[in-house]
Amino acid sequence: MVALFSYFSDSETETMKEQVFRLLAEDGVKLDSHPQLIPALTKAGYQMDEASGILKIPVDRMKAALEEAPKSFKLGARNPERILQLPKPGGGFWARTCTGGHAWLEPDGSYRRVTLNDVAKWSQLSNALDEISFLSFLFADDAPVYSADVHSMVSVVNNTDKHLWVQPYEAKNVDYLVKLGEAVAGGAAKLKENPVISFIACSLTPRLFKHMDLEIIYKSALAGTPIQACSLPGAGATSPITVPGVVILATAEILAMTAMAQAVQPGTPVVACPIIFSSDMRSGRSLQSSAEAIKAGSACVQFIKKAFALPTHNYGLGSDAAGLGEQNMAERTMLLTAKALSGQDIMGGAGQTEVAVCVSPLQLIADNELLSMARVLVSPIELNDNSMATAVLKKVEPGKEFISQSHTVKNCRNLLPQKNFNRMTMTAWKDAGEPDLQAALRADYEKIMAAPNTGAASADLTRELDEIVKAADAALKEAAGK
Amino acid sequence: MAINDVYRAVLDFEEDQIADLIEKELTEGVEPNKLLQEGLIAAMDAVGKAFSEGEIFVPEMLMAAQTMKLGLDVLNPRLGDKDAQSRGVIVIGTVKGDLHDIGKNLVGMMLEGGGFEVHDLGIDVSPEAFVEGVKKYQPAILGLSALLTTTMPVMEETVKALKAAGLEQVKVMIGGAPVTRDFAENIGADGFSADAPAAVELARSLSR
Repeated sequence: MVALFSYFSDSETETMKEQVFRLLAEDGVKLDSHPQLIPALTKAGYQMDEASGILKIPVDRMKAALEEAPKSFKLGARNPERILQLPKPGGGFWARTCTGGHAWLEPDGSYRRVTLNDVAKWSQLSNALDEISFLSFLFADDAPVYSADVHSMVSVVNNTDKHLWVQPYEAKNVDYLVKLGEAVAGGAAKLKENPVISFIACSLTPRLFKHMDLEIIYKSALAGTPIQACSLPGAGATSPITVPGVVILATAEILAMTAMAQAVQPGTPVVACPIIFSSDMRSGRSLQSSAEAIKAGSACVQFIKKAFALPTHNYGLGSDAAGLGEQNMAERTMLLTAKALSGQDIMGGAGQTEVAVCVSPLQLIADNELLSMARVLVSPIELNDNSMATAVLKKVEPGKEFISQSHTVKNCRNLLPQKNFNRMTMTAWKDAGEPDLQAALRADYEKIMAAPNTGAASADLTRELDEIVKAADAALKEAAGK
Repeated sequence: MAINDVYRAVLDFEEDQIADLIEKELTEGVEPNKLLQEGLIAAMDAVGKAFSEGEIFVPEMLMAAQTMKLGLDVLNPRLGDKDAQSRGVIVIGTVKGDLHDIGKNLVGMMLEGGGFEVHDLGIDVSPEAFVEGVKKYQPAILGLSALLTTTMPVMEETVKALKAAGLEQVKVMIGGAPVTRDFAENIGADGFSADAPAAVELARSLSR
């Protein structure tokens, strides 16, 4: 998708690009040990100092890795109609739900820890919302701690036929998560053809990579699943406080992961995820929807697309507020607008509030509606006889109206219908009993959840998934010394 | 079944076919008033209901009303005196200083679709001209429209002018984007409607 506004000129982009390459070539990144990935890097010609763990990436080597990384690829899905092409054909963006949230805001307003049953409900709801393109899983409090990601992933795939973004919680769990993906796709070879899952790999900003994330990059590249390379800097805390500074660091970490993935398997798809937070200097809290965080995230997305042509994924929704009130809606609307206009390919964070700690089914439904508005906002404007209204402009006389013209009738259903946002007058609103957005969302939620789940897994698939969970529980419990 | 074709033609905006369909039914002996009530008016009631439920949009409601009007043009000369007298008479207009007529026209078409005989005095209509119009057409209801907040006071002036002319038996209904129920009550109007289908319902209740 093309950016509709830009912070950096061409020459500024080149200057920033040089800084990213310089940081990787001269200072590098530090890697934990990994018995397969580090030899793969050495074999691929990277300068790895095994004593210090510092990986330096020469400019020409980095450029070669970027050449190997595909600029267009797909995120697969169990339902072939829900396979997602990146970048989105015709422009625009895809959207995904919150990942890792552990608090649940019930439609009745109560607040508690997420359970596996919530994950199942969340997935059913997400599957039904047409603007939600793919899912991630939440942190379920009632799952065994050593295999929480495995259990949560199963709760999702049992209830959706959309793509799933997988966030492992332990290095040892990655193999089981890959097995679950293979089961959904129909086998290891099918998973490569139709990557129904993609993996999150993260840096530990600044410039450090833990063993678990190296394992994710390694196993994901081997499995043929796209890697969503995340840098999560906190500007002013774990990264420079200035916008160009945090953008350079986040980009360098994402490029380092891109290089690692190509060293394991050239052609591995990588999505750049510069998930930039600002730091509230009064409280020390990380903020996702402050003006600074929105600006830095937007700038980084624009920069990575322009400088390196990688697909981008970042928060497009979410708020720093607790609850679903006015601040929440204002922040997430500003965030979504900025990211959509920046050309971001995937809007993450649907349904989340409280800096991604909490999820709300009602907010997810509201986000579905916000996403539809943003989709219209950034959709291309075509010029043709119909859009330029050539004939009707000639036909309608001065002072007359267009509302009864056939041109209007023909095109009026192309306008975006609002489902839960209301446009009533005060009188009509009072006559209707003063229904607020929450009430409309609650009614919609009940309706969606009462309908059959068209994305539910077959009984055979569920049985296969259960077998993998049993094996994972046994092995991971023992490994955890439980 | 045949009346159903007329009904469907309105719902499907078949402007080119409605006149022929009605002529055909009349030729086959269907009562004009039956065609009016069960074909055209029933169809417009369905259109109003669909609009209120968000299923059809304003331009589509207008297209249906235009189709209905074309059918009514064919049917009107065939309606007997008794049928004609049974239709309530309404005078409408946009108040003085206001040149907006889309909403008023839409209400007029929907009222016709609802079975009323509508006389439209146009736009920029002074209180005196409304009084003259009421004297001329003898309506049961006068409908006033305003889009501008600055022209809303003319609605009150018109209500007062009617009373001053001894025409207080005429019910006054008002509407337009800035108009509210409270405002209607404050100026002594008899009713307010938020949209065109609601105006038809209001007119029906005021004429009972």
